[in-house]
Amino acid sequence: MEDSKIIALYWERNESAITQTAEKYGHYCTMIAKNILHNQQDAEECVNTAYLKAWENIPPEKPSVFSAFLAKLTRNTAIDTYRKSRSEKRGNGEIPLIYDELENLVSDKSDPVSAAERNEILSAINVFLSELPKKKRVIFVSRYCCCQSVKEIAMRLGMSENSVSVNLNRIGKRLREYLLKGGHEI
Amino acid sequence: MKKEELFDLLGEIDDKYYGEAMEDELQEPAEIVITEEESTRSFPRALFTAAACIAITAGVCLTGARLYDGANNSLNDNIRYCRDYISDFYPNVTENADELPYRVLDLNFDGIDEILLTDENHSLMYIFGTQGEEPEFINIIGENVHDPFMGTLDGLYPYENGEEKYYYYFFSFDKGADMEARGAAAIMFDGDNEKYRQSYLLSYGIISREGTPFADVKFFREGWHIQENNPEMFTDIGEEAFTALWSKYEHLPPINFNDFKNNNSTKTLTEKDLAVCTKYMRNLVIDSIKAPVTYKYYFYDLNFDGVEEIVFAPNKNSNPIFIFEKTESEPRFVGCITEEEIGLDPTDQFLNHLGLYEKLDDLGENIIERYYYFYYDTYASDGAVKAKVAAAIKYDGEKYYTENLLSYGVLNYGNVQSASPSEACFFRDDFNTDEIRIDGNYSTLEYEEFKKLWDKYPKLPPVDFADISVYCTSYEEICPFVYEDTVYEYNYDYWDCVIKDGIVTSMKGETDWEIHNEITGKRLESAAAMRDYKLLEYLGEWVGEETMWLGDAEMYRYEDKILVLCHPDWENSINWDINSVEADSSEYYRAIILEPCKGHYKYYEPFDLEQVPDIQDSSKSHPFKTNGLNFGVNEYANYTAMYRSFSQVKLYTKEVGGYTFDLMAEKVRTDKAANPDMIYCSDLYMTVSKDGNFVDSNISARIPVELSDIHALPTDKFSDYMPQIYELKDGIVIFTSYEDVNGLCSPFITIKNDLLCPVYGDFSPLIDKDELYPYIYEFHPDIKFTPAFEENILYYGDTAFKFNFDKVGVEEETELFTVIEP
Repeated sequence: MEDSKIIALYWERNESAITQTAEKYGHYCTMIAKNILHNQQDAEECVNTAYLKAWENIPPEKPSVFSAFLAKLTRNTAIDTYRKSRSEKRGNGEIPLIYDELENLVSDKSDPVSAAERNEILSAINVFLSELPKKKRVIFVSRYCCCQSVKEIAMRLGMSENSVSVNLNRIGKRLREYLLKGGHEI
Repeated sequence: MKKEELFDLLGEIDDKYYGEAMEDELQEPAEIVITEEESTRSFPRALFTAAACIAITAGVCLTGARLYDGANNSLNDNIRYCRDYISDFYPNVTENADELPYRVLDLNFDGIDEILLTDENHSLMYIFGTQGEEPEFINIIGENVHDPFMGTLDGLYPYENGEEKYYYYFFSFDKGADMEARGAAAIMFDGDNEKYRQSYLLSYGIISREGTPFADVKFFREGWHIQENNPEMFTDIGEEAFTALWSKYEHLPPINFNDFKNNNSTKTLTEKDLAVCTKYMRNLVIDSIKAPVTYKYYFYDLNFDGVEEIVFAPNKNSNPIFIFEKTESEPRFVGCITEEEIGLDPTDQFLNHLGLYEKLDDLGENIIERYYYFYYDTYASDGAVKAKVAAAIKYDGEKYYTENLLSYGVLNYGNVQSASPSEACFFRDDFNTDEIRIDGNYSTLEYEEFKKLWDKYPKLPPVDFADISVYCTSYEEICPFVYEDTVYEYNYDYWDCVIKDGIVTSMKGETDWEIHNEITGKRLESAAAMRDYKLLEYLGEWVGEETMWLGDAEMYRYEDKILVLCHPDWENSINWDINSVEADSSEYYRAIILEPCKGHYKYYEPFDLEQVPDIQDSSKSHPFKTNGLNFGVNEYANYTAMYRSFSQVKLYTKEVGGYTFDLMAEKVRTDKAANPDMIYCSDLYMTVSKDGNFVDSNISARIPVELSDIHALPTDKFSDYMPQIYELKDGIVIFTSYEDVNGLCSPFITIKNDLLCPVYGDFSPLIDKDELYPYIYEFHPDIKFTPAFEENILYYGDTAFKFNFDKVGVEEETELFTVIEP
């Protein structure tokens, strides 16, 4: 079913919206959640929560890119779950690894970033991404936004894991340089 | 900012990037055949996707699929009937009807499904109605165009616009292995005749003829001149792009694809045409004009008189533009524009693009300006790119001429200085006063951007690019290198390159930025210079008799050839066209046991802190620290021979198990005014040698404090950056540090019976990284272990890591150590 029709179902408060969403995007959302939580059952619960959030948010929202809307919902839900359970021993899944990778990019200062500055940085990141070659952008977004493992990205793009890692490292460094050059303290 | 905040922020990037990154994940499998056994009344998603290169999401493909609830017979029975019918009545058209995939959907939007079966090329469609007791054959589509269509039917998409309703699909037109065009066509229902017909909506993506740039992808509807140049479309068009094109040109009648092909055939150049042109050019002598040795040709109606011209543009420098008119018989020479008339320098080079520029009047109704434009690069005498220029090919009624329109993209190459190397600038009238930054990629200025700039500054005359170099300040310190009477210049600027007689012959350094690739691809005319060992030696570093490192490539001397072992994934980014033996990717990795090379380990001068260049040394001409410490060390470090001599320094040495570990630093600098007790370097690693013979140079050092991209080391504590070494009963375990993208970790290498075995790192594929992740943290370089010599155990708290030295050097082993939890 087309996204617009699924969204229309949400607006009509037709519960088959959830079924249609699950049918079309279930695998996709579960994959994102599983990459973060590293547990099938947790991932499925998380995806169900994401569906519920979609149900709660549409309406009033009318997402222009439904897949991205769901991806963000799933990602955020999974991260919340992850953070709640993080007091345990360093967990599996991609988040610890991603955090470690991102650690090289940030100053790790504890001062909170203002909302305005946050928006500016986000805009700068979007510009930075727009200037990347598509393949590099896909690598970066797959890793840090969709939380895919290096292995998964490598398999999907037909690259070696090492190459994906090297690309991530380089892109990360360049993002940092780019943001610093733009006057953004990160 | 904390890493968690950055991570959260990255989750909020623009939606389109999510979609782009995950589009593969949303695709359905490309299988299209549904067998009877798999079919049920509520049959699954039937997708007419084929192995096309077009990415279409599952959601799109699903559109229009619906459950079959037609007559009393089951769906299987109905499909059986349809296939039998085809076998009976169309045996000469379809050999094996049993293999025809099918789909059930309401093709004519009357609320009742139809059954549609297609052949394997998806260019032939049988349509059956389902109103009666059994399926009723309605008609066949595509029978007469079956042969030429070897394309793919990627999906069926409903199109509804008021009264207009139909399903459309994309197809490919292939000729041999080359795709020549793609198009979209509709399955339309003719109510008067109660039959279905095929209607071509648009076509695009032409032509991959020899010599024709792939970038010339056009969208056609009514005529040749309605064009949308967009290379991306050729491979990536999906519903969105189609809809955009469709909306934009909806008012124009479509091209019948058959007519289009017929037209195309008359407009297609034949080998004979090209031969005529080539012969003419070779025989032509106009004031010593030489015909191009190699060329690209384009086929456009340059003067818009309805007859196409053949344009031969220089493929190399110093060629004129030749123009022929295509006639019924054979091409007719109609003009030649010399490079002098174009305004080219001898080293200038064309880019392969001819674009149509059309400007409408204020009402948007009439074309008031129209011509084809092209780009070329201008180069300084030292080979650096000065600018990219757009120029028009115009026709004044009698002859063709060119006119420079604008230039942009100065000046980030080679030895040309600019305030900010990454800035691309747009110039017309005066460099100093009318400088406008381009917000975009210098290397990919496209029509819309060009048009925007051009429209914005139409009254300014273009800059004369012959003199643009006066605006540029060259660095003076380029290292000359004379070898066999040829002067090479080794330019250490932004990208290292070798310039021979003013031509960039090789480059190294960063390789994956597009802008760099552009130069690499365009200007690497030959690798001849690279075959000179002396020059190689000068550029790179021979670390053994037969091995050297040059940038990212590993090179081996191989009798009279040089074998370059690039990492497989660097193939695209390193374009050294060296006449070499193809490297088997497996050769890239060393053997399990690293044995010393036969060659001698390079001798390094003892480290002398006093001789290290200081980044604030005012006696030097470059204000190294002006732009910060990192910039001082990394960007301006190599301009003089003196500085280069400190590009690689041995800081500290330690002997272990018969091996010598040297702590090596690159680009070593001091900043004595700020901190006299520190040195700074851009990279830190270890080389290993044995008895003076080189073993490896890629072992990680313990990483000290990082300041952005550089390292700072206290001058009296170099030993801190050496590995942790634990001698156990059956071998030696050495923990190095390793700055992986996944963080700092400390893999180990082992020595057993004088054999060195790297366990983890780029050069050791023995253990998958994933397997080591759980232990990386335990092996963090700040952690100290307590050895139990006799047991070959290292304790960290209560956890024991027992090392199985008997596994060292054994292929396919994965248990070099065992973790024993308390």
